[in-house]
Amino acid sequence: MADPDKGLVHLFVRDLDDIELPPRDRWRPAPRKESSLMKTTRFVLSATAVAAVIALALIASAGLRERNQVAATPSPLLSPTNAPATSTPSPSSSASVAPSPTTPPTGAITGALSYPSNFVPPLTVYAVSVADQRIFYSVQTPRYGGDPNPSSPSASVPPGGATYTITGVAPGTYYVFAYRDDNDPNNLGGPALFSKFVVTCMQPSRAGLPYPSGACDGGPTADHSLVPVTVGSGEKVSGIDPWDWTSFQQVQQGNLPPRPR
Amino acid sequence: MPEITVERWHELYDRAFPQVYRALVAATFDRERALDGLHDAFEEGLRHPPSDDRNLEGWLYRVALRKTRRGLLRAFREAPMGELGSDDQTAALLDRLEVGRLLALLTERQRAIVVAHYYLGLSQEEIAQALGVRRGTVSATVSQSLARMRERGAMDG
Repeated sequence: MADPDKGLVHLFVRDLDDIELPPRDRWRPAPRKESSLMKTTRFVLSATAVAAVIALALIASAGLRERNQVAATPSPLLSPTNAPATSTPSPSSSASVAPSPTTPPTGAITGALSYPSNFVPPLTVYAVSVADQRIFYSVQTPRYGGDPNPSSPSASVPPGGATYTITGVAPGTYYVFAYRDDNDPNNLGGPALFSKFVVTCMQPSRAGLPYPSGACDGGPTADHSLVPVTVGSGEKVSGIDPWDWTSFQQVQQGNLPPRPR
Repeated sequence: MPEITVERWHELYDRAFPQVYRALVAATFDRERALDGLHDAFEEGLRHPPSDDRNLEGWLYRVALRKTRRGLLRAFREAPMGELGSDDQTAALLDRLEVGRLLALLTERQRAIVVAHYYLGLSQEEIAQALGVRRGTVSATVSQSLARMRERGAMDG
């Protein structure tokens, strides 16, 4: 006599396997959508911020020209003890170096912060020189958003999202990554990298642009190697987003510079 | 037991998605709710991954179902069990399937248990743990569901 349970299992599997699956790009949650009002607000605020930065730069530049001076900071190579300082807890910080008329103007690195949760933990974002890993610049950022947590107060998320800026960066090429500064047991491990996966998959995905599905589906073909960031004299390099929290592969392969201390 | 990393989580989720999605559609009769629940479960897994990858389908089904229940609870206040609305297209799709017609005879709660048992292959103990009910309740629900389906002459049992 046939086992009725077996018959039911067969029936369920046969029929339910016919249910059509959604398109592959809907399998995972889409990045949070912005309303048109939020988009407009973000655009206006960004434009205002850019205009303010340009205006300040012009004023500063005019002031310097009047005094016949060159805005300059020495490379940390000149003095290892002058390793760039980090300031706390500010999303915008600069390396502390003494002015010198002989070095070129420093640049800056900026980007958005992200973490796969409803908050961004406190981080230290590092820019480590590709040529000499003893040279680095860093900035500490506070915890943003999330549920109220008295033991770990959060800053409110600014319009346009949490960001960081490392200023005072000597011209050169750097790897950028971020470490969590708290001891959360759910720590994803990190560090979060500015990697090829960010450039190829995450940034286009967030911008609503197409991206290669094979390299971006989280499988073993995904490339999580660090992307070198070149900072020119007086240049501000933006879009350097350390969003790739899947760096265990790079850690295992020893492809990451050690965390600067 | 090795920890489930983010990358591994992506991989496991993709592997489990088809079966869990279909189970959720069959339980809720609503494809959008099934997908929303799975999305929530994916994010939950990123934040707090399961301790190991055994029976990941069961884990995803449980979490997704729990997430969709917030909507369910609201709906329960307004409609008696078994009379919850479903999305029409999904209902029509399931109506073309023999199993779909049988499941339509059941309440959503009964469907959730029957699908977990006969499609995902979860034991009654696992279902009880997953849905936060007693094992006896699961057993009784399965029996009642089978009886209801037989009663309508929809299956030859």
